[in-house]
Amino acid sequence: MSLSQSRVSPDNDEFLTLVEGHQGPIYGFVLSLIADPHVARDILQEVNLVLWRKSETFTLGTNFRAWAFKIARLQVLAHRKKLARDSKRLLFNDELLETVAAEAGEIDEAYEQRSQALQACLKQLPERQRNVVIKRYLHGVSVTQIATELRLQANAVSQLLHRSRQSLGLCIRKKLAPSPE
Amino acid sequence: MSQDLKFSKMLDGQLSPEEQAELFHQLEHDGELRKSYAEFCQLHAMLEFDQDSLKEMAGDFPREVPPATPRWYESNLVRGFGAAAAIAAIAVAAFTVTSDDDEVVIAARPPSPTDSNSKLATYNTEMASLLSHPVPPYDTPVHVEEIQFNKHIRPILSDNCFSCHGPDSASRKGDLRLDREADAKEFAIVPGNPDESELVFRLETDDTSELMPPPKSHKTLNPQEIVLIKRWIAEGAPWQEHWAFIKPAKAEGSGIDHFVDAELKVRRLTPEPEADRQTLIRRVTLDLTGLPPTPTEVATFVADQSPNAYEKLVDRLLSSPRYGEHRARYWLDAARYADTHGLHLDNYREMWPYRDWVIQAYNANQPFDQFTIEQLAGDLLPEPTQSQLVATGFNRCNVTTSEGGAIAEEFLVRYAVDRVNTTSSVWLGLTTGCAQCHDHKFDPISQTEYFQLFAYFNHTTQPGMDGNQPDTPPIIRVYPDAETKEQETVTKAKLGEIGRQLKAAKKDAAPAFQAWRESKNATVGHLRGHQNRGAADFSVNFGKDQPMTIFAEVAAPDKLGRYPLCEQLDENGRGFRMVLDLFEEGVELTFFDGEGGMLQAHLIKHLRPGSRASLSWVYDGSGRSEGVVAYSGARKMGRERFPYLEIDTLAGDFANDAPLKILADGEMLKKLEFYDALTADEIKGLNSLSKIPGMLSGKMEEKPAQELLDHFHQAHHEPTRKLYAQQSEAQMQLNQIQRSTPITHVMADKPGTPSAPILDRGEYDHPTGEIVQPGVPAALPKLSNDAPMNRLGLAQWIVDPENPLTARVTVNRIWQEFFGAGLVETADDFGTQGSVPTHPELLNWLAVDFVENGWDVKRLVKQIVMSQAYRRGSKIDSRNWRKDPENRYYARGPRFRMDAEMIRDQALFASGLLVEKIGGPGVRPYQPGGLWQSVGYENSNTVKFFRHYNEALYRRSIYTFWKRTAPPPNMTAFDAPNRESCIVNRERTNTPLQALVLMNDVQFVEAARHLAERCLQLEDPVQAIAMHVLGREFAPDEYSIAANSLRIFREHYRNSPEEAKQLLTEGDKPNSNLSNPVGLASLTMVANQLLNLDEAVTKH
Repeated sequence: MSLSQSRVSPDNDEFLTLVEGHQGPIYGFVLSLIADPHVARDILQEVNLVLWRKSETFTLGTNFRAWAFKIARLQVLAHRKKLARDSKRLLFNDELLETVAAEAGEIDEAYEQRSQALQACLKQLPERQRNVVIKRYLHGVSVTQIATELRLQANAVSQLLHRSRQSLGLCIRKKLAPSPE
Repeated sequence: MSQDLKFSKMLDGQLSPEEQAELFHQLEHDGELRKSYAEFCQLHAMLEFDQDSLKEMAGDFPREVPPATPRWYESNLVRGFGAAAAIAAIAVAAFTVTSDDDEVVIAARPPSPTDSNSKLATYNTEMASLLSHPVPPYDTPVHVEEIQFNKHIRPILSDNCFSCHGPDSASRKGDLRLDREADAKEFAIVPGNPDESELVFRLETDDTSELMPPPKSHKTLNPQEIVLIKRWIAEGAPWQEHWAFIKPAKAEGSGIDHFVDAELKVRRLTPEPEADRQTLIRRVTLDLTGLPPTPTEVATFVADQSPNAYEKLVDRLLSSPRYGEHRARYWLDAARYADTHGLHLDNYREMWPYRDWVIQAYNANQPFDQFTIEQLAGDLLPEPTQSQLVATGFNRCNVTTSEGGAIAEEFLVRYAVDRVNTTSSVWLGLTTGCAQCHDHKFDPISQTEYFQLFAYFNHTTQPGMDGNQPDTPPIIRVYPDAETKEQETVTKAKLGEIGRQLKAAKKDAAPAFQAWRESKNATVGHLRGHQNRGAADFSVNFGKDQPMTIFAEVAAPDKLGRYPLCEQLDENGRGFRMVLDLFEEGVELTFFDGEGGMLQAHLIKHLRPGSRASLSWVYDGSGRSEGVVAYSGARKMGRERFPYLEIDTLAGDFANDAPLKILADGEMLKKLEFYDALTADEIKGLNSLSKIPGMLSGKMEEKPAQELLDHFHQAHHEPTRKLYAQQSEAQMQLNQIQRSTPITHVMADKPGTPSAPILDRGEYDHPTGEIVQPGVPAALPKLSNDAPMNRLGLAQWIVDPENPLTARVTVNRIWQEFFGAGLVETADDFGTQGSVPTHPELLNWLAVDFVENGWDVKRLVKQIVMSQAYRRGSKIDSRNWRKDPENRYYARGPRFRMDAEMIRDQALFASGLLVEKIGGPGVRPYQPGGLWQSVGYENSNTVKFFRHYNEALYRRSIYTFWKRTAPPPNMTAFDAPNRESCIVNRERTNTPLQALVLMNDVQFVEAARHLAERCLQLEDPVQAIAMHVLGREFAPDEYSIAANSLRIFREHYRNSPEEAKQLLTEGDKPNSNLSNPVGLASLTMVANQLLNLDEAVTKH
């Protein structure tokens, strides 16, 4: 969900812009650690609150991404404890979490490039896949709803979405791969 | 499943815990996979958060108002709504967009964009505004009806899951059953947590090996159904017992209109005002009597200013004997009543006293509980009356067979199965039949319980083979009164006495026989009353009142044809004639009274070209064809086995003194003799006459041949001849008594307690070895402790007020008779696969009220027709129509095509042809020739259709002879069932055949002709016909169409008067006035058109 058009407070205009600009990377990072898009959303909001509350500890001009990811990782760890207590939900073990955190952080370095590649890759998607991606992400329609509309089985929609993600992922990798000299 | 598919499932919230565990494990060990995983997560984040390019691509989808995006620091509040709210939002969207079926009521919908060219765009805009954030938009408050398990959830589970996860233990998969709360909530359903519920996961998974229902079942849930289930689980998965198994209780409020109006309000349907008086009287008269009102009745009702005019009308109709004839018709469908056995030969079955019993029971307004007990177990009541025994015919109406090679044991099982299924369907609204072979897949009836029900019916004295006879035991004779029964006893005693005397007299005659035999002049003598055809001017001397025997020996020629054999007719055409008819394979004997009346007895004897036969007719002087007993050789022909073509219109006498003319040559008619009415023994003697000369000329035996002895007693010895005469007279008396005392089939049990073997897969020859006692399904109330272990116990349990089904099922079926569909649409299935009631509280109220008021059927019927819901006009505006096209919520009055019988009866009644006479044997009005022949076995006694004459043509359709393998075609064209099995709601189709029947069937053409004749002399014949058929006069625009028709027909017939004459000969009814054939013929055609009107065949 887009957080564009955020109202910018006179006090921390730049800071808020940074927070807003990093919603995607933070969310992606959290998601990779928690493996649940809904929980990741919740954690993202918590991270945002913490960032806002601790804004005074951040110095403008330093690496916002590193600072935010650190807070995000801690927030995920905190949330994990709560989740482990409240439900039988499966979680990464500590080792895996750290491994993924490190690797996801690496991948995120190229977030901007990847995002640009995505813009191009989206245009190359077959129309059917493009439409389903638009519905799913832009319009936020659930898989089951899309199925109703397209008169498909929910499974077929999931598959369609999965194929779309696969092609996008592949396309992005290609665009990022160093061209052979 | 490919590993990265799990990523997508995770992203779409569809990953099961098992898959998740698997995924995590693989991530630990597979670095490449981990990388790919992180990329998927990132891609997902980019797509969620950097949507500019998505927006750009979606540019051609207009968005009116961009959804208010929560600010990031506000969204925490938003998140607080949690998963349930998110699911609710999805559910709302589902119904807003796709559903007008009002399963869930939406109180407010966001306004649709108006300026879009594409529906898709409109849809997307709506979807977007509703769904781009996970809570319902605040400016469109949404009220979603509470999810009810019985209304919303159970039907989905029953349709899709119960066949493998239901009551049937044999086919249960994975040890999971979803029909019982405790089992379902063990792990499949986690109340409050759809995500943890295996059920939800299985419904949504992409993994076809795990998906439920499995693809090979070809069952799928639609997304709305899945959403409903998730919502229900999120709300805590509250369970309800299946509604129909909960004893009904009155809710607040009372009266049909209270409940109907409440529902109309909720659905925002506007009720129609009351129908106008003409419409109303036609509707209620048709519904209560099956016949339309007369023009006078319409006029009286329209003019009646009294405040209770309508109620007076209803009371008058309810007390009419036509009421019972009409109500009984519905019941006879359920009872699968018919006049033939139904299988193989499909021979005649004498059963009609049961049909008359039903009519009488409705007219006497027998309380429904009593009506039930008598039909299911009248024979088991203490000292049952004749009427209570006749009532048990209900369970003798099933089809039976006597086919060679059929196994009696097997068919006895089938009969009991039919009885269980019919009884369950009619009283309990349960499809128990499924449990014959395995535990019921949807309802809580195990196979063991099925055979407990089966045990009640597994104790009959009935043979497995019906013997192709009209009176398969157990049967009773039905006496009109005690006096007749007494007469029968006396006559039988008399016959016995004569028999003894005859035996003694024969003994005494031994010396006389010896003397006769030894005398030189012993010759062949004549049997009683022999009239010799000697002189050229010989004439047979007998008349209508005189018992008589005709004996003929016939040799059929080699060519098919009709060959007159003899006749004795005077100048007035009075007398008799005998014709050999090789087309009908028999001899036709007809008596004429010279005034158009005749008596015809057609003896069918499979007389083929070249064959010979010796035939005798013994006539009892009754003037009726049924007073004729026929013999082929010495063998008495059962009236059923070799049916006569019966024409019984004889009024005057046929006696005359014209000479007997032999029309055939001597080769064809070998012998023609006349005697007094002979006994069976004498007929035997008559057929042995040819042997006598040889016996006389041969040498005397020590022990004389029986034939010779008989001949002496019958032809030569006066004391025995006198006794034969007495015997013949008494036998004819007994025949006459028995003709007035029909047979009917009844139930009777063997001594001892019923039981049943459980049959593996329901197969008669595969008993499992387990024997069960009678009993009822555990899901229903228990039998009382002192309940008899027989059908009476079952019947009492069925009508016990504790039984949650009987009263509901009954009021629902009666409701259906008036409104075309029940409050529960599946009138025969109140189980989990049946439909849920549209008005559960009304159904409960009606059921409880019905029982509280002594199961009073007339009272219930009156309640229904007195309701405003029933009385509303049946016109409908397009808004209401769109909302409720089938009128399940009664914003308008009922309007549907009438049943077959009503349509025919209406035509007869309107035309003045209807003969109203309650009861009696089935009649055979007109039907096209050859229909029975084409389905019948050659030696069936219903292979040839012989129609009846006179009043039999014009009786109400309930009395029409019902041959199961070929029911009356003008009934089946209008969806009458074949009566092979229990039917509690008929189909209602519209086909071109129906119009063809109405236009061309002689019954309807004759009715039109008679209707025209009735109205021809009136001031305005067209309006008069409209009044008779539609109960109203034509409006001017309609009138001009009909008048124009009349002009066209008149012109046509003026130019072709022959056609007019031909039209006027349709049907037996003579024309009363033929002075104006062109006028009558053209008006007949207009009447024919009117009887064909949609309005005429519709109750509206």
